[in-house]
Amino acid sequence: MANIRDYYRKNFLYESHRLMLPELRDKVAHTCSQCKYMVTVVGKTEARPGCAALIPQYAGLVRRVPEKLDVIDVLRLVGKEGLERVLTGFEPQRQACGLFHPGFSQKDGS
Amino acid sequence: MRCPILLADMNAFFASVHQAMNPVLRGKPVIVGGDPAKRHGIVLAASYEAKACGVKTGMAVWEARSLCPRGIFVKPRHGHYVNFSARIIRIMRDFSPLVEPFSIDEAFMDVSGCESLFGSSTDIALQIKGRIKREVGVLCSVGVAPNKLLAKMAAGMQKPDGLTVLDFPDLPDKVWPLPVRELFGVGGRLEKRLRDLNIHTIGELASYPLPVLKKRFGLIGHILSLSANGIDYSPVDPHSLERVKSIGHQITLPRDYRGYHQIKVVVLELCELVCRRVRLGGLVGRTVSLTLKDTEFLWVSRARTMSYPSAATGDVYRVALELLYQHWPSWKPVRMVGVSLAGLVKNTAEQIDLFGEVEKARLLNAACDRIKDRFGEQSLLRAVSLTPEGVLLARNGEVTRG
Repeated sequence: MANIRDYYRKNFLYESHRLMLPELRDKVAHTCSQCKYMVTVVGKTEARPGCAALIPQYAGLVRRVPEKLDVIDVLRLVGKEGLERVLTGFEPQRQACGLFHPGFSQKDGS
Repeated sequence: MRCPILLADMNAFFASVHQAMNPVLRGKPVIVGGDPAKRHGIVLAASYEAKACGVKTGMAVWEARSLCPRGIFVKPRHGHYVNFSARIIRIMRDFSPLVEPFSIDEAFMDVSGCESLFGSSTDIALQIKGRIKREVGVLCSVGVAPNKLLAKMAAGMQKPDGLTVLDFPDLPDKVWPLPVRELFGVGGRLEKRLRDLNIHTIGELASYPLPVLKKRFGLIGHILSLSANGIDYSPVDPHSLERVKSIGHQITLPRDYRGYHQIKVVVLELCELVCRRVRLGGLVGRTVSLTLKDTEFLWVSRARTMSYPSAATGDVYRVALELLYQHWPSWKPVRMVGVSLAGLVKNTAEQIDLFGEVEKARLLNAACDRIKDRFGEQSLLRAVSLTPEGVLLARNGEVTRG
């Protein structure tokens, strides 16, 4: 470290003492919109993003999470209250939750 | 706001997570420890009830058992700890976007400019403590101070479930009488060197002539003097985790491995894991490090830089083997193996070769990654993992990541 200004500016004291698990880094540095569980729930008049981790059939990535799910299928799997949870559980700009799994970019193909 | 920096430090975090998940364990001496049969037999965390019996973190499990015969021993569940930690950081980010996770159970936070929304920094600390207790079920100690250094020291002053405000006028009474080792950033070796200068307390370091410290320790001497006087200009950096410097894995072997033919199997498995993570992040790296620990707990860590950045398992494995042959005699038994890849940069360009070998390796790795993305990490393994020396299959993919 060349000088005291760089030492503080680059947060050197804390960067050199930081202990971080890669899994936690993934969850903390990403948002819901980058999660593999993000799914578009398609209804009759509108399509809204939701969280597939809250659907037991997709939780734990037992089944591949599709890009789109029909609202009727979601209703059949988790019921009306479950659908509410799936839609409100997704907040695109909020920090990823404990269920986050990276991989939206792979699914998206980008 | 005089004290805008907060540090939230979870109390006995791993043990608290088990108590939160299983209410039967609340108020009981819970000890989180590895499996001695797999040679992971140390205490990772102990609840305050177990600590009262003398159990400490890092102690051997058999020792903890003798100190606390009524203790409830549970196996570590790192997935749960990560989930709890992510939930806690989410709560903190509801108050301010300036949150810097420092470890799995600690995070800094800058609440400057939030007073009109949530009140003073002490009010915010109380609200955060309340929400973490209510929504996650874990107790935490919060330090409130004008900078990160003092916040870190303040958080350690009252445990469990404490809230400490530490401002500059408090330094002579609360900080300066403490041993110099208590100052964040001072380790065992630095403490010894400071003792040679007859510096034993933080107060003595604070009043020591700066030119002498600078002459003796250089830049670190200046930093030490400022730190002892409670001065720290480090910012709370919410993007600190987005910069990945290195990715590595290490594993303690279930038995001692002897001979290159046995060690090579584990090295290959670790290279595969490391490169997979590097590729997931869209990165390539140049510096390969190999760490080996023998049965006497003496370790060797050596690194070599490749001529071009790569994330191909074959490239990293080849360099790791060179390091193994060069720095580890084949007769010496191995207890722990670690591989890491540093000098990471975004994978924007690739050096191709004349005969298409690089392209073939890239396509093969991409195909393997697609299979793992879709069917899970355990869906595709190298054949060596099926040999008696393979460790990944037996451990079900639970590898200590560093």
